[in-house]
Amino acid sequence: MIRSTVRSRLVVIVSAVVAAGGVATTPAIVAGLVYREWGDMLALAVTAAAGLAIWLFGRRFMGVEGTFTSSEGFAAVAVAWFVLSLFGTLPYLLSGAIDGLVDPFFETAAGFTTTGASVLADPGQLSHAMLLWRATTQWLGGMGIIVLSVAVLPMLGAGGVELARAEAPGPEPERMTPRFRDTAERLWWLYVGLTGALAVLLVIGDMDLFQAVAHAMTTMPTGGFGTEPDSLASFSPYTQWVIVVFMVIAATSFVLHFRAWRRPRAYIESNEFLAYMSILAGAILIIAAGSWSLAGTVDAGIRDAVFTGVTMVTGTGYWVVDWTAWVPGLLITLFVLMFLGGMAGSTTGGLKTYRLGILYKVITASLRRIVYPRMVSVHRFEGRAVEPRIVDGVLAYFLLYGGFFVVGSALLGFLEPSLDVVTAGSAAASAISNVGPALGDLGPTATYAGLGVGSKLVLSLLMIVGRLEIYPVVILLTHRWWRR
Amino acid sequence: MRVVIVGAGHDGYYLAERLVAEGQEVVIIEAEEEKATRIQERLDVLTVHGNGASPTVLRRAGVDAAGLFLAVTDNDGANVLACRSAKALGVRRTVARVEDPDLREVSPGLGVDVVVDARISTARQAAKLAEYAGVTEYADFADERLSLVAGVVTPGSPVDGHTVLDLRMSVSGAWHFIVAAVVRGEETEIGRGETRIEAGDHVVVMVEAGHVREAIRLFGIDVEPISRVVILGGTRIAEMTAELLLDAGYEVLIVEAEPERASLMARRCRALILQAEPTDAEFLTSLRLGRGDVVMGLSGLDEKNLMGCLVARAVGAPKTIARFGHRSVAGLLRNVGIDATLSSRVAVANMILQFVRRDRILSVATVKDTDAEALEIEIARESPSVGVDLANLNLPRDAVLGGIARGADVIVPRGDTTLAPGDHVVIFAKSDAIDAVEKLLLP
Repeated sequence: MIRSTVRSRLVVIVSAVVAAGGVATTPAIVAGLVYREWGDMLALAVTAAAGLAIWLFGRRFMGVEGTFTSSEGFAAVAVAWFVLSLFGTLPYLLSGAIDGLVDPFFETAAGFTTTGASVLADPGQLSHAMLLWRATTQWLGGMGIIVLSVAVLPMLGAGGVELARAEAPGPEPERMTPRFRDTAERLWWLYVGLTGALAVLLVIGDMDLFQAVAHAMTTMPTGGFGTEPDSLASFSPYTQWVIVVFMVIAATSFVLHFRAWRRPRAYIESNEFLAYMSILAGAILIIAAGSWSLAGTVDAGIRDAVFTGVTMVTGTGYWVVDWTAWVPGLLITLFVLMFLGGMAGSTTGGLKTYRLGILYKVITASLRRIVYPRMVSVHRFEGRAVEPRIVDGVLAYFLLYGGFFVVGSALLGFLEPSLDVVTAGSAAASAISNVGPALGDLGPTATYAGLGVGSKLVLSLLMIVGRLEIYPVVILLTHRWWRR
Repeated sequence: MRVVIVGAGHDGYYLAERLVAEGQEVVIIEAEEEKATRIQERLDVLTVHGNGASPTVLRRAGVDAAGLFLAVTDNDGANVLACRSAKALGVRRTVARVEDPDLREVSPGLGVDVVVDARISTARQAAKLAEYAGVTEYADFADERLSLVAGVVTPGSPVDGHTVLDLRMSVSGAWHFIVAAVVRGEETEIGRGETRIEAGDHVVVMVEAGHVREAIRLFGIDVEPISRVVILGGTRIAEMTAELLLDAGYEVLIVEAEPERASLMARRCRALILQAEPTDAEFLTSLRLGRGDVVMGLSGLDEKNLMGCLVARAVGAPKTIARFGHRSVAGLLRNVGIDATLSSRVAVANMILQFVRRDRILSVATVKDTDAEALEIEIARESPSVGVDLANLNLPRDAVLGGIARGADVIVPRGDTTLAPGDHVVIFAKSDAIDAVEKLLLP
């Protein structure tokens, strides 16, 4: 049994997170009022009331002395995320907007993890209120992941400390502010501001206000839930370019944006940013070269390549061109790009550029050691030495990530005998890296609705595992309290 | 002028030697009996035995009559404290050697007028010597726009047997040079039009910074086109040199024997750090030294630098450069396989000599094998040389004008060039001609 003080704190945290989910129904309720969708609005209002009730229950446990140990903290993060994903299904369940029990959970998990995989063939089948709730789950997930990566995980210290460096990318070791809370607050304002700016830019184009808000709320968390059956394919080139720019911004470290606000040079001084840009450029070039013959015009060819490269690397999951029928070389490229992700401290999923950077250093160092056996092995990143335990953590992360991917795709293969290897593998990759669409039968135009219950749960779990950067979930599952 | 020096270590000794040679009145304060005695025996100086920060000792040294006070012990704090005491006793100008950057910043408030730290200029010189591996000297003037470079003319080079005037004719247009001096055996000849250059001569050339490679090629100085630099010794200067060379695109290895120091270096410096004894022949062999490599001994120990460079040479390093504290050795080493030497002590002394001379002298560089040196002088409005063309300036025979930096331009002087206020001129002169040069150029 968990010690009671720990349990009290866990209840407080989970109920606070759920309460935040309840408050987050507000935009959707407003949409319900505006569009006179009373039934769905009621479901959302009941959800909000449930959130309030859970908070009123949970707050009674406040004021317990002491703090979490780091493993308890990690476990709490994982529990809170699972509970929030369950809570978020309430509007769908109560209104019947999405049928069954598993589909709403899959959709909510894809929302809070900012994955963007969907069971809906046409999002237009949902009411405005439900569409906005769906977008809100991603927007809230993005906020959660920012505070998680820059505030909570570093504060917990051990284990996933490799993330701690996310709070201070760039050469200066200083933190942004002395208190994590202040840091998180500033980054949230930046996040809110960027969302607002994007919505304005989209309204200027060919989106109506509702579409603009819904897309702004799913672009900033690199989520990818849209409002149209063909994602962004039918919108104007202007709109597509604006989305491209904001996907790139959203997958850049928010701490870096903050620094660059006062010192624009901060971007080019960041090795991780430069590596991220190089990955994007390389991805776009390969896609452009491979898909050139398929494009109608030069303009569309460039735009499709840029959009597809950016959506894959950032893990957003919007699309403007259906890549299902592309040549195998391009499909393999897309498959690899799914894993990469953007920078640490952003809303992107995937392995993240700094881990790729450290892996690159480890590989080059091991090659150099063959030439210079007496070499002193210290890996440097962003002008600073990286502690050996962080390097170990990063290498372990690659192995864990690969392990979850392999087990996940194998499970899919067993559960869905009709799927081909490409589809099963890419669906697992897309889920763990929080991308959304996959390849093969689960490409951009397809939905996940046809999968069985087991497969949907496996994919939902992969999304959460990937979103929480694996460690919290692993610690939750392996902690000693299970053995008592 | 009376100059009081605190500290008779390598820096102090070398400074005293140079100042005495220039005819200054030198008093040295040294706490260690043995060092004090040694310097007293060898140089024409007054030594005072005691603590350089003690007012009693300072009075005994006659600081009240001193025009310049130099604190150059190995201890930053002691240097600053000595300056403070001296200032309180009425010394006009104080100079302290301070290496700690933080202390350097606050020193002006502590009675130190001028702080010298030669490591930056030494590292720059080291990096340039590595880049042009094979030259014997390298120095910068006029904000790095003019370079002094020296080397040995190889047999069969295009300049062999020609006069400076011939060469001037053959290289027209794109770039210019001045032959500052030709050293042949013990003889130093300051460059004139009729000076004849032969294989084996040690030539000192002034050239615009962008054309150093052309000058090296013209004079047939044997340089190695390097790609890899192996630095022996994990010192601060090694680190600074490595950073400069990495920025210039070379591969840099630093060899440090002490494991703790090596891992500290690896954390701080972008260069590849190898933990090994820099004089270990087996290790140096394993580096497969050969074409494109240069080995630099930059540790703090002369014998380790010498030994490391010699072993490296023996196992295939085409060019080697060593740092030396004892200047007396430096000149002797070329014949044993060290291509160039550098010394942070010489650099400290050069920086300090600027203050000994007058205010308008900006930098000084010395060349081994010879007592000649290069001075950078800013021409003042009141200077008697303003408006006079060089042909009529009557520079002493043992001095030559090596270059003029005017605004953004670098001018290679000719007979009809006239000097203007604000010009930075670089003069190369034998030491006995320096007085006359100063009289001509300084107000």
